[in-house]
Amino acid sequence: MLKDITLGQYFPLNSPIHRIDPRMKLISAIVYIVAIFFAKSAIAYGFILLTAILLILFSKIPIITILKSLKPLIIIIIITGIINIFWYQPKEGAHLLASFWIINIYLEGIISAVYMLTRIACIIIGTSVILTYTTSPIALTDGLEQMLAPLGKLHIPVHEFSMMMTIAMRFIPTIIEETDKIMSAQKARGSDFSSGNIIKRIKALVPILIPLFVSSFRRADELATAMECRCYRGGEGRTKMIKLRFRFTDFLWLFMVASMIAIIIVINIYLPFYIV
Amino acid sequence: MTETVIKTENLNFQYETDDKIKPVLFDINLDIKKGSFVCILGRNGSGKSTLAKVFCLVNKPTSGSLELFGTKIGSDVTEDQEYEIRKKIGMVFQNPDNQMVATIVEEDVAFGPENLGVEPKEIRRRVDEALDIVGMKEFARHSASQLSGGQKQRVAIAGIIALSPDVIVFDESTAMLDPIGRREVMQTILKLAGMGKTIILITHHMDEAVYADRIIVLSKGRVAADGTPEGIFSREKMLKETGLDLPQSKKVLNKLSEKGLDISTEGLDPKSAAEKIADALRKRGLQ
Repeated sequence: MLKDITLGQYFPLNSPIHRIDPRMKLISAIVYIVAIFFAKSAIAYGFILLTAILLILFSKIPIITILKSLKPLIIIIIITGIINIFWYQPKEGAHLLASFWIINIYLEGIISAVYMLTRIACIIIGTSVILTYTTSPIALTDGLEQMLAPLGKLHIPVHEFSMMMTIAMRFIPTIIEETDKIMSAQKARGSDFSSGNIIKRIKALVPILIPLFVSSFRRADELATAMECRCYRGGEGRTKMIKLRFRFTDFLWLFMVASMIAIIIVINIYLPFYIV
Repeated sequence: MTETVIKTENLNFQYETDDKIKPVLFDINLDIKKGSFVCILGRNGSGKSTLAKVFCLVNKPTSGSLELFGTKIGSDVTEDQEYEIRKKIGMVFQNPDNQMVATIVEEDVAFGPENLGVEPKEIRRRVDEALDIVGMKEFARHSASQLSGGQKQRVAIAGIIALSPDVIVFDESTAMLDPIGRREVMQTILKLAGMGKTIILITHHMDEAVYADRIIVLSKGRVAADGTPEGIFSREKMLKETGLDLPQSKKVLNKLSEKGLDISTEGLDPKSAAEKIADALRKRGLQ
């Protein structure tokens, strides 16, 4: 079960998206999210959905893995959808579909729920395809470190922060594996995680969390020793194997993502279907 | 006269916590020559890992003297001195998962040289070379979490090779691996020994110790024996006292000779033992 969580996992493939400079990816991911929030018309939403699909195709990442990564978020997505339907504040000329007690369901409410779902799905797909799936965590933190390097002059520990991020990401699969093992071990001893009320279930997690914490601290200690033995002395005087350099394609990429905003605005103005 | 890389005189070490003092090593007198392949054998709790950590300055000696590459290490060792020593002595630990910093294999290998402030081009060269030595070149862009235990440990070794140290200490680096992983790592260690690196192998597997030039047996924090594998494994009384065993190939040879086969029991590693058995069989007229 825990193995299905692919959030934050890198797929080492060789696609045009993989080759983009991580700094440009960080910027473009933000631009992409902003662009999604510009969408108003149904066609604009269709357009962002299309860009999400194009992103997946260009990244060469199997669609199934991406759908799997959405799976743990389905409940959140459904709840948001329902809230959107029921909490819709009707404007003038809204179409009432059904009404019982104090709840009124409007056609516009359903449409806005669908829009919301599209938006959430596109944000998750977009950011994970642009960033986490196609950028190695090290490249990502390197990118962040180099972008934020000027802040180091203000005595903000940029290197330390990026090192922490790198290590955290490195240990995600290790700790997931460990959790799986501990869960099996506790199950073998007769503990039950899947029945009883919520308080009982939370209590059942304690025998998983305690060994997990203990082993994580031990790991941290060993890792610190190993890092010291590999001559780690903080960020000063460190070099990098891979020096980041912007190329023409990086700027082209940013231009393409930024032009999405323009396209969406144009669609909103000239093809204003079902704006709610 | 070859250079001495590690020299200890009456070295003692104790772990100190707030309320307890636990002495671990007593009167260790050793000198390890450059280019040698030394194995430190001992049971659990004999202090062998502690000694390895003293060599890498993870543990500082409580008393006695420690000399690394001709530099005396006192209790007042500075951080810069430690750094200089660590450039020359690399250490591979037991758990491969807990010594990897980066997610991608080659980026992890690059971690060491990056710390040294080596030029990017030179880092690239060292990383490629190190991965080539351990035979993991094709996995350079792989995610470390998808590798097997033996592969991970070879990446960890590459991470140390990339620092190009003179001495590599293996602290029970095969203990957590399956037989295939152990064999892969052992082959890598032998390759490095063949390349002229000084190897210090900490283990409790007799079968790994037979490849060394010299075995140091630790028992209860003291040096119980020091000599060649042939010498050490012929001292059966000492082996029993220190809780050690014979390597498997030696055991087989002994058993065969007990049963009356005319065989020399001198071979230690599996290959020479196999040859001895073949010779003995040929002598008896079996082809």
